[in-house]
Amino acid sequence: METGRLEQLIEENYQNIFLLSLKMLKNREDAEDATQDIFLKVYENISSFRHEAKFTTWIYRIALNHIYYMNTQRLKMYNNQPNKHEIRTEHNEDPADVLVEKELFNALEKIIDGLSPKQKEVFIMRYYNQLPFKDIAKILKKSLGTVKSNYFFAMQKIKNELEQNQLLEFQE
Amino acid sequence: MKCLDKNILIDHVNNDLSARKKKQVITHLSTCEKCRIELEKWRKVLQTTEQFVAGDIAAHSVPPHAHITRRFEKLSKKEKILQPEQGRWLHAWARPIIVTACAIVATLMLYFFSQRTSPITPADYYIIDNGFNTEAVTLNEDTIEQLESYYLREIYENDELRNDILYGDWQEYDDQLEYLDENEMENLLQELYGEKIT
Repeated sequence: METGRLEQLIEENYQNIFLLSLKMLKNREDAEDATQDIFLKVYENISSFRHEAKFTTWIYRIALNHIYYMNTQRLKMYNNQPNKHEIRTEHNEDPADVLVEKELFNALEKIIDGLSPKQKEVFIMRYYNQLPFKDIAKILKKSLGTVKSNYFFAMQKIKNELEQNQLLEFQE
Repeated sequence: MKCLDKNILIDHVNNDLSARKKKQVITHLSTCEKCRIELEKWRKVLQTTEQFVAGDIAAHSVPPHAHITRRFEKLSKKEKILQPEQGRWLHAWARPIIVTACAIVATLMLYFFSQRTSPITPADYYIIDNGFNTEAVTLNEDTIEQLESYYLREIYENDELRNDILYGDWQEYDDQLEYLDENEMENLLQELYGEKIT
C-alpha cells in the first residue's frame, strides 16, 4: 500500500481508534500509546490484509485485540487496580446547570464503565465511533442479533441506574 | 396487543424500525399510555446518553498523529536500506518453484556433461553419406575395420563411385581411402587400374 493511502486511512480512523482506546483503557497516556501501537501494527501487517473485510473492520479488530492485551498487561502491572488513573471528564456548561449535569454525567460515566466488556465495546463503537450495528457485528465476528442484544442490555442497565438514582426526571 | 418490548422502543427512538413495524408501533402507542410513558423515558435516556458522549468526545482532544506518519516514513526508509531488493524480489510462493527449476537444470547439465567423460572431437566421428543415408560412426578399431570393408565393398559395388575413383578426381575420396593401409590401397588400385601406382 502506498504511504499516501496509509496516511489517509490513519487520518480517517485515528480519532475513532483513540476514543475506543481511551474509553476501554480509561487512561489518556495508555490510550495514546495504544493508538500508536495499533497503527504501527496496521503498518507492519498491511501486506497480510486480504481485502476479505473492509479496511476499517480490520483496523478495529487489531485495535480491540491490542486493547484487551494492554488491559491484561495493565491489570498485572497495577495488581488489579485498573482505575488508578481514572480519567475525569470536564464539561464547560452554564453554572446554573453545572451541578445537576455534572452529577448526571459523572454517574453516566460510572455506569458506562460498569458495563460488561461485551456491552461496553458495542456501546463505545455505537456511540463514540458512530458505527452501524452491522459493521460492529463484522468487527466482533458476531451476529447482528447478538450485537443488538448487547446494546439493548447496556441501555437497559443505563436506564435502570438513572431511574434508581433519580438522576433523570421521568414523567410517571 | 401486548405492550411493546424495550428493544422495539429503543429501535423506534433510534429510527431503526422497518416502515411496517413502525406503523404497528405508532398504532399501539396511540392506544397504550403505559408504552407512551415508557417510550418517553427511553427517548430521554438515549438523548442524555448522546449528549454525554458528545461532551465526552469534545472534552478529549485527539492527539496529533503526524508523528506516526513520520515514524512510518522512517521505518519505510530503514526497511529499504536493510532490504533493498525486498520490493522487487519474488513473492515467497514463487521461491520453491524457482529453486526446483534450478535443481532440474543443474541435474540436466550434470547428466549432459557426465555423458562426455571422454571428450570426443569431431575427428573421432566419421560421417558416412552414400547419398541415401547419413550415418555418424564413432571410430574405434572395430568400426574402422567395418568402415574399410564398407568402403571397399562400396568401391567394388558402386559403379558410379568406382568410375569416380578411376576416371574422376579420386583425391576427392581421399577421406574414404585413407582408412586403407598401403597394401590394401595398392591392391585396390592395382585391381582397378590393372597396374601398381607408384
